[in-house]
Amino acid sequence: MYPLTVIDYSIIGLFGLWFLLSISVQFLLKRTPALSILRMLGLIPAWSFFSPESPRGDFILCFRDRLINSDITPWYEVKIGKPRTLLCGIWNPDQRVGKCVFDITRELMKMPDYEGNKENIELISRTPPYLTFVNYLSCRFLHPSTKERQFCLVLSRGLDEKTYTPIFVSLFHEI
Amino acid sequence: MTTTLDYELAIRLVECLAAVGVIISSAEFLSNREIFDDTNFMGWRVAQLHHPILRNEPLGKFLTLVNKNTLVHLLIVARILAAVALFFASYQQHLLRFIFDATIAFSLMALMVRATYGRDGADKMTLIIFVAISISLVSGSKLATKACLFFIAGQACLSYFATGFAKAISQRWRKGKALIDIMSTSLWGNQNIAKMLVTRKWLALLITYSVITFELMFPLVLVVPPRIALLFLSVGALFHLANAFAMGLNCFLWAFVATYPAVLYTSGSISQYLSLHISSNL
Repeated sequence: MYPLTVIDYSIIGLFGLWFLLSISVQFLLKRTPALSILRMLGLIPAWSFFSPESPRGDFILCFRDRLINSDITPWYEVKIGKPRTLLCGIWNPDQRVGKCVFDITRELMKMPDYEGNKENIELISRTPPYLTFVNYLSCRFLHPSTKERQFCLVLSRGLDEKTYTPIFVSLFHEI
Repeated sequence: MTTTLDYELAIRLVECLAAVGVIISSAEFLSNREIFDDTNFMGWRVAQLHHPILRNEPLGKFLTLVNKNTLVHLLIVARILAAVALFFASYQQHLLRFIFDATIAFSLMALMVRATYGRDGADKMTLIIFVAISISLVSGSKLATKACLFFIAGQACLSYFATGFAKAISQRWRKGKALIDIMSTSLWGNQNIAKMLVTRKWLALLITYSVITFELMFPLVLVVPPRIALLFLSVGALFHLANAFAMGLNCFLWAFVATYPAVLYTSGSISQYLSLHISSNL
């Protein structure tokens, strides 16, 4: 056994503390603001992998435009990614984009003010997930006569016969 | 046989397996690099909304300056180069390995800030691995390396156990419905598997309970004899391989299997300690 240095002690202490924090975050300190920076950096993740709430379908992002002449276009679906093949077990770049839409929608659905209180959409419209979709759609698929744009999220479920349920409709935003 | 892996080999295996995942996920990012545009899901304007510290002066201003897309792309390229270089380093080259590991850790952490949306468990486990190895290389001592292996093994056990626990307390999981739900999605699912599970509910339940049991029991891998630990980890590797092809979770395979040499080393060390302790007490 060789003599331990201060650095060795510090490293062991750091690993110990980090591990204790990691355990705490799983079961006790999930929302502690003091740890928000460490969570943002991904150093103390709360492991959950599709649990306890599992995804119940696909979230589809749609948009429609109000044109200069006040006409409103039909809803268009934003196609994200391509259908998966066996190769995706090795190389799967599209999943990242799909996961973004999934994460943003999940965060939007967690907004406590939304359900049953449509006035609060104004408040929601200033939140990161909402602004992310507005930002994403603000420069895509533009028509020369587009004046304003609205987005909605649809939950698609089922196998052969799919059901489509609108779960969120935004305000119109000037483009 | 008490210990199956030498600590030098174990840490190098962790590094190299995780590096494969880093190369794949980084190349995926580069093939999809428009995702970092300001009007896309990982744009800096969006990322800044998530934490006040990212908007406050002077840090916010500095971060805006360094978060130019070209720099982010270069950082990802640097990460790939560092990951490739790791394969050619030897255990004794502490400084070189520190440079490569720290480059990967810094790049992953920087991207964590950008990728508030779209990041997954594989990214987080990979980050933990490279930050932990970088820390251990500050000292480079045998003890720091062993502590790092114990830590990575602990994180692996924690991740499986916490996930199993979360599934076990969910009614939807216990009824086997969650698995069918996930398999019915286009993002992670597989229509053929979903249809098979819908018609054979017993199979959905069998898979669900096998997964929950495996995840909850994973920490036991540290205290069972190394041969059983190896068998347990083989099942884990097959589980991740199946997830890669059935669910498209390709990077999870590398990130989590990369922790296995650390788990095996820790398991061997605990077995050795227990056998010495028990035999000295007899």
